[in-house]
Amino acid sequence: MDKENYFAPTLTADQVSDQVLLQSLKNPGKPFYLALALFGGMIIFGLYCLFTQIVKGLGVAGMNNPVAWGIYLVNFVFWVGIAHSGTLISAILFLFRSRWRTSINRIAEAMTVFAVIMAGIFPLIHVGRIWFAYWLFPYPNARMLWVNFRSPLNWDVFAVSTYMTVSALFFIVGMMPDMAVLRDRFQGIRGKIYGLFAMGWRGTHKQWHHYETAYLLFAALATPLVISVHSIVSWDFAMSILPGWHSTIFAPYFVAGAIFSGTAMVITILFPLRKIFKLENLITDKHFTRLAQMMLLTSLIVSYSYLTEFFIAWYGNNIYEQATFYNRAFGFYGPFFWLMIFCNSLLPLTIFFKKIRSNPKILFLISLLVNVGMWLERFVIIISSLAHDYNPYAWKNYTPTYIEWGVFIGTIGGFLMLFFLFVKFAPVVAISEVKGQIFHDVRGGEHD
Amino acid sequence: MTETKQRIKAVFDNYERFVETLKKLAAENSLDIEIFSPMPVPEAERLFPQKPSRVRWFTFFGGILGVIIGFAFPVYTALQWPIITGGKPVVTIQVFVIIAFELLILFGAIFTLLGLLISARLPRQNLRNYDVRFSDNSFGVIILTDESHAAELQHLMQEADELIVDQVEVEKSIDR
Repeated sequence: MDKENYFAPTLTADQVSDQVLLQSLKNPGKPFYLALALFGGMIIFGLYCLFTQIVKGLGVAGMNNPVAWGIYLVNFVFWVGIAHSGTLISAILFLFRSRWRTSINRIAEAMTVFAVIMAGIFPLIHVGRIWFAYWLFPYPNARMLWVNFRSPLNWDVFAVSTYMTVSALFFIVGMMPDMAVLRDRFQGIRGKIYGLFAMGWRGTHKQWHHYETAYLLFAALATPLVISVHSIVSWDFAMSILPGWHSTIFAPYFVAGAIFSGTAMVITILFPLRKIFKLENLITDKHFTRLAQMMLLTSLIVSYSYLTEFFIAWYGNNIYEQATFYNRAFGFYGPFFWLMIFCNSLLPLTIFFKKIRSNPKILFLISLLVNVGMWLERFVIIISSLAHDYNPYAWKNYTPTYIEWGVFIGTIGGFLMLFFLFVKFAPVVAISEVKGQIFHDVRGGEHD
Repeated sequence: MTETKQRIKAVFDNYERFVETLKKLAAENSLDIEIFSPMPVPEAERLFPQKPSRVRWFTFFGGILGVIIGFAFPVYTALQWPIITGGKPVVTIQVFVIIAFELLILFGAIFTLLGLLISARLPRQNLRNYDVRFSDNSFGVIILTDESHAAELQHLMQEADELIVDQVEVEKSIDR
C-alpha cells in the first residue's frame, strides 16, 4: 500500500476542522462576490439565448442538414466527460486504496454532480421543444406509445439519469459525517440546514460500521457505472453507420477521453481554489503531481486512439472512411484537428519531465489547454463527420451561431456558480477521511 | 417497563489513551457500549466486532430488482407494439442488457441508501447520548451498566479526560 504522506508534515487534526470550516465562516471578500456576479451574468446571457431559441425556433441555431447535431451535443459530451473524473477519483481510487484522493475527492465529487446537471440540460435544449422533454422517459400515456429501447439515444436517457442520481447520492452520503461537524458548529437556520443533511449522524461505531459498508458499495456500484455511461454516450455515435463514427474503438476511447478531460478540469479548479482558501497543507503539490500523472496516462490512451482511427481508415481500405479522415485533418475543420492534437497529445507529453509535473502553475496552464483540446475533440468528431458523409451532394459545413455559444457560456456560468456556492457553504474537504489518515497512518497508529 | 441503570460517559482528547481504554474494555463481556468518534476507528471495529452490515443485502436485492425491471419493462413495451423493423427481432435481449445494467446500478444505489438509513437508524432528531465534541477531535465511550459493575468499569476508564456518571431510566427492551 501507498504509505506516502500527502499532507504537509505539520498538519494536525485540529487544523483540519478549523481550516475547512473557517472557509465557510469567513467573509470570502470582494473577488468572490464579483466572480458570482460574473457567473450570474453568464447564466442570464445563456437564458436569454435559450429563450430566443424557444421563441423564434431552432432556426436561430446554426444546425443544418446534414449537420443536425451541433455544438449542443458537443457540449453535452464535454460536460459528461468532465463529470467522469469525479467518480474516478472518489470511487475507483477508493477501491484501489489510493490515499492521495483523500483531500480532493469531495471537490471532484461536487464537480461530477454539477457537470452532469449541465450535461443533462443540452439534449433537452437540442430537441427544441424543451417542454416536451419528459417524452424521453417511458410512461403510460394516452397515445399508447412507448419509447424505443433499441435506440442508443434512449440508452443515454437511462445512463445519464442513473449517473446523475447515483453520483448525487454518493456525494450526499459522503458528506453526512462532515455535515454533522458543521451542524455542531453553527447555530440558527444554518445549523438546522446542516442538521438536515447530517440526518442525525452521531458517529457511533455502529453507524460508522454501516456507513463504511455503504460507502464501499456505492464506490463498487459507481465504478462500472462511470465506464458504462461514457461507453453509452459513445454509442450514440458508434451505433450509426456514419464514417468517422462507426467504430468499435469508440467506447474505450471516449472513456479515456472523459477521464482525461475531467482530470484536467480538476486541476483547473483546484489550483485557484487552493490559493483563495489557503489549503496548501491539505492539497499539496504531490496531489497535483498525481493528477498530472493520471492526465498523462489518459492522454497517451487518447493519442493512441487517434492513431488507431487513422490507421484503420487507411488499412481498412474503405474509401468513405479514408475520405472522412483526410477531410478531418486537411479539410475545412483541419485547423481544429491540429489544435486538438497539440493540446491533447503533444502538450501533455511535457508531463514526463519531473520539473513540469511538480509545478502546479504550469500544470494549471496545461490543464486549461487540455480542456480546450477535449472540447475540440468532440467538435471534430461530431461536426466534421456529419458535415462530410457519403454523398458529396449533401456536404455542408456548420458554424455555431451566437445563440449556441451563449447557451454554452451560460452553462459554464452555471457550473462555476454552483461550485462557488458549494465551496462557500459546504465542507470542501472530506474532514473525517483526512482525520482518519492523520490519526492512523501519519502518526503511525496501529494497522490491521 | 423501565429500569434504573448507571450511565458512564468518558471523553478522551487523546487518541492513544482512547484506544488503550478500548482494549481494556474489550475484555469485559456483554457490554452495552457506544463508541463515538469523528472518523472511523479501525481499533473499535476490531475490538468490538460486529456482524457484517445488513446494507449489503439491500444492495444485492436492489440490484436484482433493477435487473428484473430492466429486462421485463423493455420486453413488455416491445411486445405492446410488435412490429419488426430492420429485420431485427421485436424482443432484442442484447440491447435490453444495457437498460438492465443501468437499472441494476440505479436500484442498487437507491437501496444501498435505504439500507444505510435503516441500519444506522437515520434520519433521527434525538441525538441520544451525543456530545458536540465527538465531531471535533474528541472520542467518547458511553456505557450503560448495572450498579454492581459501575465501579469496576469506572476504574477501567480512569484515563479519560472527563468521566461523568449518572443514573438513567432506560426502557428494558431498548432498541439500539
